[in-house]
Amino acid sequence: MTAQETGAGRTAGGSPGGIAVRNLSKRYGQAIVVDNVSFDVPRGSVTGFFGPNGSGKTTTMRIMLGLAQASAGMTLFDGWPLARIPNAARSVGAVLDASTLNSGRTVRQTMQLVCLGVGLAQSRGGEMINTVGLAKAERQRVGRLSLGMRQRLALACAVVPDPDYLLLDEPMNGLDPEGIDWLRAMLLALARAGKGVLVSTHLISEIADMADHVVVINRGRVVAAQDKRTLLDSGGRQTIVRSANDRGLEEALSAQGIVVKPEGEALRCDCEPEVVCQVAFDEGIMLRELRPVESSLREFVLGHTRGEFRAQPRLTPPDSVPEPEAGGGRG
Amino acid sequence: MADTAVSLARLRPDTGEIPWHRLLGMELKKVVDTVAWRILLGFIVGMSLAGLVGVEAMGIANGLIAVSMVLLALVSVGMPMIGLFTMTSEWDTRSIMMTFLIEPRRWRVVVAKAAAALLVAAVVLIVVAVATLAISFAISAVRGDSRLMSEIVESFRYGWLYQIVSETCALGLALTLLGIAWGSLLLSTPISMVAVAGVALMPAMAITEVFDETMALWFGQMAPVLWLTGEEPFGPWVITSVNLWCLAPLVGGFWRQSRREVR
Repeated sequence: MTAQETGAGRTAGGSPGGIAVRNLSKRYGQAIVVDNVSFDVPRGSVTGFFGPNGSGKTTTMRIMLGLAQASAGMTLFDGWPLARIPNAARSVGAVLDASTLNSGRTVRQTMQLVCLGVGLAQSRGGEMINTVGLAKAERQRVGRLSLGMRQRLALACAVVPDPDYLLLDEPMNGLDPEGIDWLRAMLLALARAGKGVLVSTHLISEIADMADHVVVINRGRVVAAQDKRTLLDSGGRQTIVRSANDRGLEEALSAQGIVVKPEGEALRCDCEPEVVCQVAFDEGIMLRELRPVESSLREFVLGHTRGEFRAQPRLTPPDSVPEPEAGGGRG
Repeated sequence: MADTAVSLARLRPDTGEIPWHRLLGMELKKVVDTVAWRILLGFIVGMSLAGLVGVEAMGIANGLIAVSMVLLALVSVGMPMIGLFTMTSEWDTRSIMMTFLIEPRRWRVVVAKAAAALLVAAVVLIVVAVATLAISFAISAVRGDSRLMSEIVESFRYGWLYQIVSETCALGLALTLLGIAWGSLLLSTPISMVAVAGVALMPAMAITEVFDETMALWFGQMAPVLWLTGEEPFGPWVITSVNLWCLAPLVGGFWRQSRREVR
């Protein structure tokens, strides 16, 4: 799949544009951290970038932003590499690590520096500080801010130039529930305004409902990159059913080759509700509950990435440490 | 090339390249608004002024000679510190990430940093020169000694003042560049400080010990200093020494900064 085929990364001239990541690879000695990664981030949408810890999300984003050199491949923003875009911060904003803000500078000074560099009026920086809720902390040094407040400041710095694309790495880190709601609202508003947003996270449920596109990465390789709806539909739909004769219905469905599993007091069937209805009707079984179950993004991502850095099954919480056997103690 | 420029203009009609004066402004702002920089500059200026008072009080020297001694100490120690700290401070604190997100063309950032270092060094030199002269005048006034003014007039008349000022400025420029070069190459403040101190003291002494003074002049670090202070004439040994101890680390440092991974 090339950038031209997907429409992403086309140059100016009325085309939709977007970010096109093509065949990105990164090696550290013999270790391949990012392996031939390709995906698109269209404008006007939120793209979720999912993967477990150590899967290569942050390294991919660092390469996209020119903070690390790719061993191979390239990233194009509206058809241009970042280094060829004049005043790049006005096109691409990013938050990779809020702890990289200089702790010896105040909130206001940090914002002033960004405004100076990008060429914005200082009043715009002040407005943005108010918008992210840091007005009362304006004179505080960054080193004294909580992680959540730093995250807000980093987001403010990325968003203040009104960039076309926003790349965020674990932006929910340190944010309280109110902050997460605010961030979600902001990202949706940016996407509606035609911006392209790429959000990397391992907290799938936090952005699952707002992501339009999904990129799943595991061990440095993209295992899925497509529209969320298509992705979930491809997983097939399931149906939860309760009836007057669950055993009879289970046998009838199984006879049709449909996988049926008990779930609480109901049955979970790997088929559409219409199929369950038809089988129940044919068998003369009265239905008490029938509802479709959509496969969740969380299940999809976990299904494709399971196994990375999984805790040992023998690991037991401190509460359940077994008592020493009688007579087996010291002394 | 022209097509590319036109396309880029169409792509972002509201934005142009970040102008150099704005990049320089950013780097200068970093000097005045961070605690670490304020401490460093306060320390350099404070030590220079305290040094002058000490030299005068202990009777080591007075008047214009005392001022010259303090300025020589300032350019020898303070200027390389300013040069290296400009290059290393953002890598130490990892805030270089934000800088490179604003301007991804790293070579432009590095050039702006080098220019800022030279500018800051020049301002510090001027501030310290004026302040030390003022303090020296004050001390002379307290002592009822009017020789300082006549010393200055005499130095001006015979061209000594011009020589002192030009030598101090040239030495300051050279040593700031030395700091920029090694800071840029090593990208760590403590390691760069050790390296600059080592470069300032060790090579010529070691080469003299192993070989002779001629070899030390060619391959040691002192040739440009001796030329700038008028103790040795200009020759190929100056170029060799500058290339070896300043230009090579400067080029290496710029290359390293343009490729180093930002974490």
